[in-house]
Amino acid sequence: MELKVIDRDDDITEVALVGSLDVAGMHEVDVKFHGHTAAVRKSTIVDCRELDFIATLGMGMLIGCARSLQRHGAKMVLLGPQSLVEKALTTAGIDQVIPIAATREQAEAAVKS
Amino acid sequence: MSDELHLRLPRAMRAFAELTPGVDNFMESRQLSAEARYKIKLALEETILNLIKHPPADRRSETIDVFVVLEPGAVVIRVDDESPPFDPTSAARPNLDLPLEQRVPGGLGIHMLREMLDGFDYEHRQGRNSITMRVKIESG
Repeated sequence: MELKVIDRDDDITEVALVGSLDVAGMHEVDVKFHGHTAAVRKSTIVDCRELDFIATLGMGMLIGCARSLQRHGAKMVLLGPQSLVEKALTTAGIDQVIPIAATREQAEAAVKS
Repeated sequence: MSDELHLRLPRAMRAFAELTPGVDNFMESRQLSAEARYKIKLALEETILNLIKHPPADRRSETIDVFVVLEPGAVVIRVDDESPPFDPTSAARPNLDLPLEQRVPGGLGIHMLREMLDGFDYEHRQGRNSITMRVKIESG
C-alpha cells in the first residue's frame, strides 16, 4: 500500500491511495494519510483510481479525516474508485458523507462548492 | 490440490500476517474473479477484526479457526471461535443517513457482509460460535 502526494499549485490537497487498504495497508499509510490530509486542513481530493480494496477499517480512516477537515471548513472528495471499491463505499453509505467524483474536474468542483 | 484451506490463527492483529498469504495463494491458484476475491477478503477481514475486538478477554479462546472451502459454484468461508454467543446476522442495521459528524464505524462491517455476500449465517454449538459466509463463483 502506498500513499502518493500530488504536487498542486492551488489551495487543494491531492493524495492517491495505491494498493489494498486492508489491515496491512492501513498500518502502512494511516499516519501518513492523516498527516497529509486532516493535519493540513485544506480541502482534499483522494484519488482512488488505483485503490483495489477497502473495508471498514479504511473507511474509518477516510471518515475520521473528512470529519476533521469539515470542522475546519474544508471538504474531502473521492476521485474515481474502481467498481468494487465504489460498491463497498456506497454499500456502507460513505458516498453520502464523502462525495465520489468520476473525474478530476468534478472532484475539483465538488471541493470548491 | 486440496479444495479446503484451514488456518488456526492467534486472536490478535498479527493473525492477518498469517492469514493473508494463505488466502491469497488459495484464491490465486483457483483463478477466482476479482469480485470473488474482494468478497472473500472482505468477509475474512471484517469477521476476524470483530472477533479480535469484541469478545471479553477472559471468556474467549486464544485462537480463531478459519476454513475456506471451494465448492461447486461457491467459496464457503467458515470462521469458528470460542466466546460468548453473538449472532451477527441479527445485529441492528446501522443508520447510514447520519451526517458526517455523527458517523461511527460500529455495525458497518456486519452490514456490508449482509449486503455484499451471497450467504451469511451463524450458529452457536457446543460452546463455539460459527459464522458461515458464501461467495458465488463461476464454475470452471
